[in-house]
Amino acid sequence: MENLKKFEHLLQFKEENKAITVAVGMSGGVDSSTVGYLLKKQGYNVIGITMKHWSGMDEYATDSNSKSCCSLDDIHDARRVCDDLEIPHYVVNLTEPFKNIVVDYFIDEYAKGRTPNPCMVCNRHIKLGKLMEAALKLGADYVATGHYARIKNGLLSTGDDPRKDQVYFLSQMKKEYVKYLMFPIGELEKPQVRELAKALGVRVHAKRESQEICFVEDGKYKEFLDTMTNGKISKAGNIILENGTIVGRHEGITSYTIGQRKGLGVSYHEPLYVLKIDSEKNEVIVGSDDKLFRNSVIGSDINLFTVDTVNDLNELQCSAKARSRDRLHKGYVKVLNDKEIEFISEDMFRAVTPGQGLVLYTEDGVVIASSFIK
Amino acid sequence: MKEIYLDNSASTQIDTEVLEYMFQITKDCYANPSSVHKLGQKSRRVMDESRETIAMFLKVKSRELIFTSSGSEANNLALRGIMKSTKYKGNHIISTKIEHSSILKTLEDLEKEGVEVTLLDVDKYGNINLDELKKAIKPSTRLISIIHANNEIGTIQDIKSIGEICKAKNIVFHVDAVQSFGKILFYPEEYNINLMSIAAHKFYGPKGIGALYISSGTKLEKIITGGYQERNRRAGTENIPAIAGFAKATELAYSIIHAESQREKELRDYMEALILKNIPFVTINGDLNNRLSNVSSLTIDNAMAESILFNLDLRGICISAGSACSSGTLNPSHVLLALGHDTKMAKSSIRVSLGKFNNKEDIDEFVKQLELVVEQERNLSDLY
Repeated sequence: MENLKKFEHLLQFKEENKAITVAVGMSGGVDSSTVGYLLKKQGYNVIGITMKHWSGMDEYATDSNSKSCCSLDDIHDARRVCDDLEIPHYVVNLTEPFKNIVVDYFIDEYAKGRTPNPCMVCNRHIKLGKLMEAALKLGADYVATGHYARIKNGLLSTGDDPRKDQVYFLSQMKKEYVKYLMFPIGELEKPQVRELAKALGVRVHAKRESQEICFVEDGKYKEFLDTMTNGKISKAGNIILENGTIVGRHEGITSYTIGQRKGLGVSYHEPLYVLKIDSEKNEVIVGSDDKLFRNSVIGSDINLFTVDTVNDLNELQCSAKARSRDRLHKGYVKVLNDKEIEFISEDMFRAVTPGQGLVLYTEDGVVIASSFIK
Repeated sequence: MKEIYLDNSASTQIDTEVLEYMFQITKDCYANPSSVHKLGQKSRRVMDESRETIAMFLKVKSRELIFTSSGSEANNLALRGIMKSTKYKGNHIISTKIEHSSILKTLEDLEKEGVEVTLLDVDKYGNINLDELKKAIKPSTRLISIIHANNEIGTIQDIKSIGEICKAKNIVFHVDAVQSFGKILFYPEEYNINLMSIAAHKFYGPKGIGALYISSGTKLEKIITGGYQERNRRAGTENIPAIAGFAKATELAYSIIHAESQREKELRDYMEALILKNIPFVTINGDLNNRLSNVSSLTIDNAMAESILFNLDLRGICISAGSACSSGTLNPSHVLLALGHDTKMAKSSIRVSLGKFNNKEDIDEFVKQLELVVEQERNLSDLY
């Protein structure tokens, strides 16, 4: 097959691989499915493993038009891919820990006026936590995923294109688990993955990918929060300027995030942006665009990779991101105490959002440490 | 004495290829498909592949097919499942007077739960009137259930137009395709069909397996509770060998669908011409321009269908009167009554349904015997 020539290096069979068992985290999507194919071609002993983490709020409304990951359809797709590969497939039920650790955290953060990053929490505790542990208990030597990421010297690193950064979401994972990880398609960008998948005959090669939070159907997280809290989380309140002037009303702070301009329903002589959310007073504080910029960010719940203690980060020159799609900001770290750091940037961060990840990188894209913005 | 089987609308002989495949599967895939282990996964794989095969021929998604024990169960699931999800009371269903008893009896039952039912009349050919259908629709109409091809007279309803009406009014459209699937080529999505019942034993597949197509987004509650099988739509350990047989039978049926219906039509038309030529006072029921290729419903004046059946059986020929479900009773066919037959006419009507194993010799012999039997019948009835 002509199409496969450029991917030859990924399809090399190695005799010694036969003695190695790799569990592939199968989501039913094109990335992880392609990984399954590659590893099998490379000669590994492959097992497919899928986690059942959420059955949805309405058990049988698996509407084909709603897009959230790991619905019944996705588990079915993962199973069928494993059938095609003739590898065993196991579904690990993690619905209880997922609810307690990821979903409840998600709800609590919004209640506190923060914007949670559930993927970071899930990757640490569930995916590269409990699911990985389940894989290792199956006798797997490694766990492979479809992430666009690399492992450099036993450390997490971004792919060639730092703009497509998936390690940001992986950055809260435990350092000691990195040695079990494999990213077989970590150097391929999405269009290449689909091309390879099609050439290999992967049945889900054209499947649409979920862009939203996996447990919130169609990205309707306000409805989700209302349903899960019986409406308690949404209370109407005031939209105010920094000086206290009331400029509008909101229907619940959960509809807002820092830097947001749309949906304020406020008419003012200049564009207004969300600067701060005060959950105690149930207020959304707005102001002009220039107020969104700052050159320092404080992070807590620090997860370390390249150093052993938080104090080792002091004075460290590195780059940081305060959002997954942020560009890299050069600067240095100031350790505030053994649980908090402050990153001082040479340039400005825009719309720093409490609850999001503050992740530190080396010049080469290796993750130094990860924290949550205070 | 050779058996001449002309009752294919009641059921069909299983295809040898289907039977052999089912035997293999029964032997090799015995674990419960819900089991986690390798053997369970093996059974599940057969089921998944079979489902995908059937879905492919219908051009629907495999997750939209739910396996049931029969066409009757599929009909029950369609009607009861929709009503259950919309809480019964005050809901209105439109259907027809010529539906299969599994629809009519279920509708009767649902009326006790507070569901309102309108049964449309048919003309003397068995066609419903689309204007009447439109007039019958009201704000409380939740479901319209129409038999695609009638099992007794073969008349085919215009489900394309009905589908358009349902779509425009946002009403769930159920089609009983038990007799038409595998014989008429059509695609549910093109006709705006939301629910569709099929049964394997009508097209040389095994008995004991049917399916309900449920288009994505159609809210329906399960009626057989217990486990989460069939996407939580139908509890019960899946009948793997029968499902496999269903898929194989579907494959075979579709491979000959055009050629075979053409062949059967010619054979049936030949048979009817021969009968009309040789036996006086015989009329054909149904829409002669628009009916299944293999069905022939004949009213034979001055002769009792029951007696004809018995006598033909003594001569090794199998046909039916009314439909198989109502045999064993002396009730005249509700379908024929709906056409405007009186009881006497209905009791003088037989149904001959051809299949792929029938040939010209069968037909020639049948007509010859029918002639003799009818003559004998009529002579005797003159005496009594």
